[in-house]
Amino acid sequence: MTVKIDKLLIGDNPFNGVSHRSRERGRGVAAMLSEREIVKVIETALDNGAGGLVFSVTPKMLSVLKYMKEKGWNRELHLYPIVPDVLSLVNESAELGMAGLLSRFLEGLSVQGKLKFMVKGGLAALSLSPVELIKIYLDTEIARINATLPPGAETRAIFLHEVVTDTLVSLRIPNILQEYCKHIQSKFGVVPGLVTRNFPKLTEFAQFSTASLDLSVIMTPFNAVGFQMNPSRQHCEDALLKQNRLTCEVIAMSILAAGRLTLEQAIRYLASLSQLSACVVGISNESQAKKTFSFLKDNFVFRKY
Amino acid sequence: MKIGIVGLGKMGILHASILNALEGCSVAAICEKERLVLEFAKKIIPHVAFYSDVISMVNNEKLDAVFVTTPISTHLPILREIIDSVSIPVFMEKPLAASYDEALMMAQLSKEKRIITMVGYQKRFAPSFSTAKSILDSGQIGKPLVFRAHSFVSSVFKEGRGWRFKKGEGGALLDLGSHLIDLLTFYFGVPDWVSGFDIQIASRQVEDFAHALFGFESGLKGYVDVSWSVEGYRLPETKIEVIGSEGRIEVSDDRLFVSGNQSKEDSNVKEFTAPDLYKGVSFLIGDPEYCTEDEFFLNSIKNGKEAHPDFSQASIVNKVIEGIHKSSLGKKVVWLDDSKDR
Repeated sequence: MTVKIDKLLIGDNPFNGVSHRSRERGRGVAAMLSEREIVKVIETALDNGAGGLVFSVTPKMLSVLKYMKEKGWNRELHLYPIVPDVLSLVNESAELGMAGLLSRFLEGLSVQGKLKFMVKGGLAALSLSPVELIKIYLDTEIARINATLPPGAETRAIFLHEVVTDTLVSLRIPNILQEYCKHIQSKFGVVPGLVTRNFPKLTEFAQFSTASLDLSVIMTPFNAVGFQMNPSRQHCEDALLKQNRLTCEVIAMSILAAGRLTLEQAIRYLASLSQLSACVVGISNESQAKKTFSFLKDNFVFRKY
Repeated sequence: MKIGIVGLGKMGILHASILNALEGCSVAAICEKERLVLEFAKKIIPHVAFYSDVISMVNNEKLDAVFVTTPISTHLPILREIIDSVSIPVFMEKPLAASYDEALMMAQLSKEKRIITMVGYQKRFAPSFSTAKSILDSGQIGKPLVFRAHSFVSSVFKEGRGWRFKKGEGGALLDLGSHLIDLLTFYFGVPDWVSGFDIQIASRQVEDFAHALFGFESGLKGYVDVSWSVEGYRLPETKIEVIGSEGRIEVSDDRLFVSGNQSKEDSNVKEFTAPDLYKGVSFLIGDPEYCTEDEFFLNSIKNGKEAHPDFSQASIVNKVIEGIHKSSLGKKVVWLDDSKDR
């Protein structure tokens, strides 16, 4: 499958109130930004060189897409959703417990007619393989996104959230990762991606796993101060060098280390990593969008295909 | 090291993932009482023995430690089941127990068996809060005089379901505020007295907001506000500000600010944000402190040293929370050392 990833991507963290630099700051930004303002920020970023939007399937981002659809957005926009919305799942499991969460999910599927039988308490659904259930779950998540897609938008890749990727890696469950990738490709015809904050562990796992995991695109932190790079910046750089030989596309995230680095500093570091294919940056206002993406467009030297 | 996990909820999955990724450590067994979760996990997770009862798990598997991540009302009976069968280190997710009496009993039982224990108050190991501890201990801000602190999250806006919302087991103080109270005891020791009130906003059985004033033998006084029903906090936020005789420190999950007295020639103002404080961890899931805390526990076992907070230290959190509830009910100051009650 041909991998077509935009080189400059808009991140959605500021739109959701996530700031790795300061939760207090993140709260302020999210409280300020309406759907209309977020769309303006996205437009400015696109005007200045960004090609797509990476986003978690949060209620806020779905509402942004819905707003775009209602306003008849028909401009080309490439979408890179990250599934599932882990924070909502974690909050629900805190209230319902894992059994309650599973039951509700299974009952929900049977009510929607996604399962061939009604599920009471969920146990009957266990006759299905977990892989089948996960596929059904993915389908419902992606259907939620598709229902809000504005006319000009096109989904280019679907990413698996880092908490899920990293859990599957550490618990050594390659078949689920493999099935995820296959399903995204065959059913939706888009590139399957994985987000990780443990890049060396994932690539090592993919290489030595018996299930011969075929990685297409990985999104993971790369920045000069090693923020969110585990177990260390050096390990991640070494893994990137090795990964280049495996022809996997790597998208750098956290390139500004949550505001710790200037754009110039970020680019100086990224320029030393010629294996990177693209980068994603979160921005919270129009002037920042203009400054950030016009600078990246002129200065980020990407991997040559 | 071979680890057993009891309870496959979100914290069980989180610890299992971290532990299984650590060098020389693996999750050998998982015990889960809910059949639906157990059967589902069996089909997905390879190389792990599954059990539905703790006694069989600890008897059949030669485990080096057990991590218990079940609802708090089950902590004491599960501890009994473990230590009646084997004497191995036990990590218990926070809070240790629903009541101070239960927490004390657990501390006593583990002491009798001489096992290494630890409770999952992971914020002690967070880059910002652990650095703040070193700064406070170094005397950089002088003698702590006053503090104010809060812990807020936007999660409860209607009557919730599950044990977190049951009287005697849940509430904002036990669920959320326990981290903050543990940090305060980590920094300053056991308070002499507490005085406060708690109120219900969305819940019927438990408090959604609590305010409490603390007094310490050293003369330090301060207050905490805890609520899970505050708008605008998508992620939990814990913040402590301490004014000392020589300066001030402000610490939250992702920021640390230290300042000496302005009257001094060099007021030594320093600010650190999350990227400044970040150090890579062996395996990151959630926040880095989860990995640091798990590695700390495993190293304590390897070196035969006590971990912290152990059951006895963690029981203080229960004591303080009960003190706040008593103060709220009786509308009076509650002395935590009974001998000082007046």
